[in-house]
Amino acid sequence: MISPTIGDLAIRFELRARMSGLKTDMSRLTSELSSGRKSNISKAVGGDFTYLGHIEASLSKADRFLTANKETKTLTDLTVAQLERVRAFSGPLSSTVLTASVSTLDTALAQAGEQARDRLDETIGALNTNLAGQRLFSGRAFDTAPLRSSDDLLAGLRTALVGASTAADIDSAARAWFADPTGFGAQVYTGSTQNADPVPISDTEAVDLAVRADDTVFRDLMRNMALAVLATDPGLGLTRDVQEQVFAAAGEGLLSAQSDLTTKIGDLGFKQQRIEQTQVRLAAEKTSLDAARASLIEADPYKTALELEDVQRRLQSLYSVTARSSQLSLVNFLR
Amino acid sequence: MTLSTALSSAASGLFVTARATELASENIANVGTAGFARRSLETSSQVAGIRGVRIDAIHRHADPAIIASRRVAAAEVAARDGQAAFFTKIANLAGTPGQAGSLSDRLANFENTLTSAISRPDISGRLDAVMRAAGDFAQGLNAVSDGLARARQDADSAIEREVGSLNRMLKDLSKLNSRITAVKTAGSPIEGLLDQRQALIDKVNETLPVTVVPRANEQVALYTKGGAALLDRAPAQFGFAPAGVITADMSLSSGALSGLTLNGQPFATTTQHLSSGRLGALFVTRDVDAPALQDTLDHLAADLIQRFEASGLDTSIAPGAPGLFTDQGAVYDPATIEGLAGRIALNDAVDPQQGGAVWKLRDGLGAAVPGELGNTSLLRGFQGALADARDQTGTPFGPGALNSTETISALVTQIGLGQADAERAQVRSVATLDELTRAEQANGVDTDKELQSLLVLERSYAANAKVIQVVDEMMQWLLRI
Repeated sequence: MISPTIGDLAIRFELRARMSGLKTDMSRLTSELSSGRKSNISKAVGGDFTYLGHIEASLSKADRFLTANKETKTLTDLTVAQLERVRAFSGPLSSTVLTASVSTLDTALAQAGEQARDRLDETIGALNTNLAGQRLFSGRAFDTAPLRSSDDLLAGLRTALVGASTAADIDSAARAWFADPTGFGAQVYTGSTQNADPVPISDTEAVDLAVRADDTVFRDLMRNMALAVLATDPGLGLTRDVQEQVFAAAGEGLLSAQSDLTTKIGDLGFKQQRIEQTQVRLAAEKTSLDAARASLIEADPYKTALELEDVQRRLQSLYSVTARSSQLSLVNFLR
Repeated sequence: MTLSTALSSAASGLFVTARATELASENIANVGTAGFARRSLETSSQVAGIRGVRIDAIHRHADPAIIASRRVAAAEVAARDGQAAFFTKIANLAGTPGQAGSLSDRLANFENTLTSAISRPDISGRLDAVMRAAGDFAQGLNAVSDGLARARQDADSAIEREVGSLNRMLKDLSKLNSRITAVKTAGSPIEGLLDQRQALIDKVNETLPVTVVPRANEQVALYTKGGAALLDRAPAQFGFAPAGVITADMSLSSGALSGLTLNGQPFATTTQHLSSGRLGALFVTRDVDAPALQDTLDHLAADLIQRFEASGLDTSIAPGAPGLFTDQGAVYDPATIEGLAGRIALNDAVDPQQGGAVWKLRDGLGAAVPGELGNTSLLRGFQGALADARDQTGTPFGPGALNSTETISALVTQIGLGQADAERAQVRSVATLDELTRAEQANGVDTDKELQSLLVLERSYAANAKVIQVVDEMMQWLLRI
């Protein structure tokens, strides 16, 4: 006898399969809602990670440069601050020295010399500054202070000036000693003769601070300050006339050194600006990369919440159908 | 005589009703048994003098066409499950871009530490971070390579197990065949044994898809999809030699790994015989999928090593000397590229735990003493080596130039596409199997129908018994005459 029937197992199988499917969906949607990103990223990109890999790498690169550039910016700022400090007093000093050179007071030269000595100390102090252990003006030798003390400088220069009696002689002897690698270069400057390497601030750009304590502008500054100190030194035995000439030359030298310093500060200011612009650009890049990544792998919370509600409703209907249909058996009516 | 004929008819009715009740109760008892074929009674009226009803046969409702289709789908599901599981395992090991601990993440970390060290090359803590990050990256590659080797070994030992159980099941089927014939000849019911045989063939089918051919006397013969005989009067015997530890250079073609033999003859693993089923999928994993990924991974490792061996990058080492990444201390040799990803390591010269020093990352691997602390030229060289787009012609990364990040993305994409394909096929095959299982189970036991027929049987039994009672009374009347 063949009559159409449907096996019990078939109905139960159908309900069981649907229920497990809905429960899997519900757990996936719940985790997507709470984490904010799609749970199966491989499926979201269709197995092709080229684009996502590129986005993640670019994001990581932007982050890494944003952090590193903060350090570079601090370094540049501090360098500029030290140069500003020196520039600030070299103007007043040069007028003091020039005034003293035409003064008739006995003590004018000596007093100006004292000031010059103080300023020389300050200059050497500024050039020896370090930022968390890194010397700013030593070139590649990050750990070594670039300049010895002003005592060493004055002692070395004094030795080189012995025997010179005219202003012209003193001038040329001082220039020679400061230019000599065995003079200033060995007795006072202890930094590296190579500039610090350019620091990358992005994929394509690098900032080269290129400023050392033995740069021409600093040597000129220190030479003129040191001459103002040593002119009145009894060991050299210079006449009052020669001393006044030396002071005059030193005063003018300090003025021109000051304007050189201003140029250098302007140069560094331009580099500071470049770093800031790069930071702004990197931040903007980061925002757009974040948006691109979101479009690929992030789960829209509204859509996910709607889907979750829908699945929960369907699961509830399935539960009530299962409960009802289990009661629909002939057994219950054959009591 | 008519009265006694009536009696014998009623008696046959009682017997058939009782037998039908027995079948109904057997059906109801097995309502939850998967693979149980619903029984029903085929009756017809008696002929040739005897009256009443007789049983023609007990019909087992098993539709061979649906069962055959279901078996095809089941073999497919078993195969796809295995393949998807392999790709998921490797995908989890390699990770995806943005995931912590993934290969992409380790590379990004390495590049981060380089940038940080370039900013302050005088701080040895930053150089130490570079050393650790580079080491982590090499170890990440080692881990994926080890994972692939382990997957191949697992597949190899699983093949051994499957072959063993296959041989056992074929022997059991052969015994079952003979028993069914014997029991049938003796006249006893064989439905239970037929159910058992169907279940056993289902299990064999999951391992190796089979075609069932009915033979005389309720026996069956089993053939593979390609036509090789698995069971035809005598069971076939499969042979396989497990390899134990598998290294990247071992393969089926090199002879280091074993194939299958059927009754002593070599049995091809790549043809139609094994295109589906668990056994076929295991061979594909061991001989095709895993070696392909290993090849790409090895080329990635080779690319990494060569970036840091480039002449002019580190002037402190001689040309041809190992760079930052080595093949267990040696230079890269194209002849030994197989398994390179499992051997790639950080050069000992920069690892303090191996007698090296981290300042060599700044001053050169061959430097004798530390140099100027502000020197970033080598570190910037390392950064450039990673970002450089190197020509990849002749490698699995195809013609074109890629930087390090792109080579990793290419590897992860290869894994991802394999996983996507396997999962798509898996979903499709599971859906097909579900449909066919439901169709097969629709032929199963329906309790409502059984109870309905029980009602009818109850009435018919009562009616037959009443007939006997009435005939008996009639005879009594006769005897009182």
